[in-house]
Amino acid sequence: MTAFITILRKELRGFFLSPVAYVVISMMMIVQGVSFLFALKPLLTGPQNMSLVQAQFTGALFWIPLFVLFPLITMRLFSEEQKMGTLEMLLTAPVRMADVVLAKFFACLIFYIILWLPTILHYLLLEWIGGIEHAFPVYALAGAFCIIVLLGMMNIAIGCLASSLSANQIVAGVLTFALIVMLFLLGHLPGSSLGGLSEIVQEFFEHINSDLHMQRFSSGMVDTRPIAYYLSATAVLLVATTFTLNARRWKN
Amino acid sequence: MRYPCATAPKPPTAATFLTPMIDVHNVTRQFYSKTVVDRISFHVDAGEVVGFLGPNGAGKSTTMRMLTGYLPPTSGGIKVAGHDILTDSIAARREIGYMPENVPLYTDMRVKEYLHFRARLKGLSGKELRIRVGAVMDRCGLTDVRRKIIRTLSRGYRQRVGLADALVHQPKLLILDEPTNGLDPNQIRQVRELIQDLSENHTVLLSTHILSEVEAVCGRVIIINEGTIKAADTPENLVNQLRRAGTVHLEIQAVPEIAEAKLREISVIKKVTLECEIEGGWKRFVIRAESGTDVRQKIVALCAANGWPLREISRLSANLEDVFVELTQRQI
Ligand SMILES: Nc1ncnc2c1ncn2[C@@H]1O[C@H](COP(=O)(O)OP(=O)(O)OP(=O)(O)O)[C@@H](O)[C@H]1O
Ligand SMILES: [Mg+2]
Repeated sequence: MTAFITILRKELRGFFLSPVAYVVISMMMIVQGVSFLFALKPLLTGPQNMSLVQAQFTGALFWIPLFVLFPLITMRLFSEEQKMGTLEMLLTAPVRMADVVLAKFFACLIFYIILWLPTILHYLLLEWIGGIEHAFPVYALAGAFCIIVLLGMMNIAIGCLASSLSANQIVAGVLTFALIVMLFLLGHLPGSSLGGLSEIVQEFFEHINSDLHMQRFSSGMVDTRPIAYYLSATAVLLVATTFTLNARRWKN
Repeated sequence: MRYPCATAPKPPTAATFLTPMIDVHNVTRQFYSKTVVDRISFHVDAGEVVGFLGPNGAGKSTTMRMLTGYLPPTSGGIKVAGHDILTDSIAARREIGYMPENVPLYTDMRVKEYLHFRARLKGLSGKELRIRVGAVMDRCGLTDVRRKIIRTLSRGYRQRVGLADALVHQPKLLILDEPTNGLDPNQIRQVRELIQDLSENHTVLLSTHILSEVEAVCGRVIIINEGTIKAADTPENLVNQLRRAGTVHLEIQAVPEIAEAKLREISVIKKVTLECEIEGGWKRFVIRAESGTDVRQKIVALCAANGWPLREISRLSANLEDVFVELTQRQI
């Protein structure tokens, strides 16, 4: 446990000391501000059939920055260790591979969650400054954040696996990007022109459709199946990361 | 570099004397189909300082990585301080201070910050941690650079950071892979003195290509070549064994061809060469005899019988370098 916390703290410090972090933080602040405005704007003209929350978290403005964000924050995690050979120092101290993987994963997750704080501020400001009571459905916002965190866990785990596969950060980043986009598009297969899929296949694709999950959760419809999906995918990916790292140090 | 330890090391218990500090049993390591370490067995007792020698690519670093649990052996067993390195890995690793070959470090951290991080990973905390980090920084001459970012340090200073890291938790066993590689002569001497200091209460296994260093600090050497152990003994014993194989230098006055022919008649002499002619009619010969023989008496007798004036006969004393070359050079 000490090893886990020690590495977690070191990684978090590393995040806030790297210039990439500030690029990412500014990018996310701008994106969130803009998408919040875009979601607000239609409401000026009159009632809409989507709530403010739903409007903000379901468009291209929500998804496309995420596709870029995850590779940026995860590509360094294990690639750099492998390139510099520093895993040899880490793993000859009394530290388990699982400690290393989990610590890096959680450090990244914490950073990711911090990136989303501006949005919460936007909603609070809307109530405080706008003086509007019940400007947005709180449960919907909580639901949306639930998916943001769960989706973040899975995608960060994808990034961990990709960066354990290559000592080259760029390769790891591109791989993460490709995997995340592919997973997103797969979820949209049933809705596309490819008709005639059997019901089971349909259901499977629906099960991994993050966009659909987000639409439901951000309208307050909380379901346990997506939660189980994200958590189990995360666990599997992290175990795979551990195995890959061990295999690569043992074989190479 | 020679400050005393801030906290006294724990006194050795009975167990430290009974179990060897390192026990390597029939260990093989393959990379794909290439065998890099081939069925080696050796042990290092508590309190020993052992030099691990071998030419480039002999398998020294690979063996050290296996000892520290970073690489599992393909077959065979390793115990460190009585703990199996695979099944009881964490306990074994607690006893080891390891400095890898190229000293990989987090180059974006500061020296002190890095050592704090490492000390905490190794289970130190609070006041003890601060005292230990301060002590190793003093001891390795890092106090002046403690706020520097590791990236900006010279190779020698990075090496010191690696050494400080290996020492910080007062491990029973130090495994140092080429600790003086890349250091200037002053720093080499400092590190050598440091190792001598440390040998009082640590067991040390170090690899190096500097043989004088081994003669200065190591009580025993293990010579490895192409993955197999060629010798494991004290430097003195190894040198003495080789000395009997010696090369003899001889200066006489004689007709070179006749002298050469007669010397060759002595059965154990393998090779006679005229090295040079010196003014005054002196001829200098270099004579190589078979291992395990001393031919000086026979040569003196031969000279006397032929009436050749003799003014020098000497046998080259071998050193560890000769042993090393003899045991590890490729036979052509
Ligand atoms: N990860 C690896 N994959 C494949 N071969 C390897 C690997 N690591 C080492 N080897 C091979 O194993 C052999 C021994 O390497 P090792 O690093 O143990 O040598 P060494 O004795 O430390 O040499 P040096 O004195 O140059 O440090 C070399 O031939 C090397 O090519
Ligand atoms: Mg080596």
